[in-house]
Amino acid sequence: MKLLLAIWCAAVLLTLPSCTGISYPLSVVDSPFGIEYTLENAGVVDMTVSNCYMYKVRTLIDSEYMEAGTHVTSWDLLDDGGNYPGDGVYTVEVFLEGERVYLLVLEVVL
Amino acid sequence: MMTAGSVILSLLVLQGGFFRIGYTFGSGSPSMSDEKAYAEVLTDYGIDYNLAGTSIRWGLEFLTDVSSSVRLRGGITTASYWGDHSQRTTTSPLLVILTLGLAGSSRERVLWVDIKSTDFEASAYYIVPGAKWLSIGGGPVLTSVSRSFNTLYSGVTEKKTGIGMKTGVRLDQLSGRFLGLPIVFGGELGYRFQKVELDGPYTGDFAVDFSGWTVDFGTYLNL
Repeated sequence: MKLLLAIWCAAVLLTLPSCTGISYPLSVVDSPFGIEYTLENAGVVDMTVSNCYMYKVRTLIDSEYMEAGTHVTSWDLLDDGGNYPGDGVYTVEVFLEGERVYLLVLEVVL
Repeated sequence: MMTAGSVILSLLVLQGGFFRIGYTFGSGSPSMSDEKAYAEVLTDYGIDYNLAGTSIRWGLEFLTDVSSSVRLRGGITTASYWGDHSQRTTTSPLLVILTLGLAGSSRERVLWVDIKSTDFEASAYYIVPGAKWLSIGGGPVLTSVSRSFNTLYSGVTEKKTGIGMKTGVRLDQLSGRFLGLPIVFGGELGYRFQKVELDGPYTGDFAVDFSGWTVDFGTYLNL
């Protein structure tokens, strides 16, 4: 009986992690914000923002030489034409010498 | 228009062979290369995002033999494809504890994509001599696709219509009855070339690509 009770308690404790609400996997932003990223090496950097169609809506850094270290680049939630591209999921990518070194997926809701 | 359709239908039936109308159900293995590439981005970020392995298809179609060697098929088919990141949520914590997680919780979609196509098809098949139940052919497909990517807070949808092509091998029961009714069965194994580039202001060349193998099974009323 005690063994059965111990097994039941253990099973309850194991199942408890499922007793949680939703853990939303994306940051939701509604205003311009800074994106912090670290470059291991110096080199030519490109930084782009793409939407859920992998369409590049904004180029934040265009083939610019940057030193190694931590950098912060801001996005004002606008596209290259200065227009708001709409609510949705966006991908921010930093490429160093053509190789992706930073990835951020977030959601913009105004 | 109805009178003309009735006349055409009568002429087709008088040609011999059969005329049947029915419901089909099947699945496909769509390419969805752009969708898979986007899923990879989400997965690279650490999101447990999964795409369906196959599409689900269903539709209405008619079949008729216009000669001893030609079989015509027309139909309207809908295909669905999806992907999502879902999480288990608790609806009743007490029930979860008492049943050790078997009850009291459900999965809720957090990020998801729903892709649909509505296809208008017209195909012609060559009936294999000596094996009237076997035919090979194909034809054009007018396809209208939509892609809807949603989260708990936002949704983005784009639609586009395009032209595709399908080819296939059909197996059709020539005659018979099922449960006393003039119901016969048929099926088709085929391949579709069905890629439509969405044309919205922020879609670039993202394509909804239902190209790939399909298998359909139909139940028909033999008229």
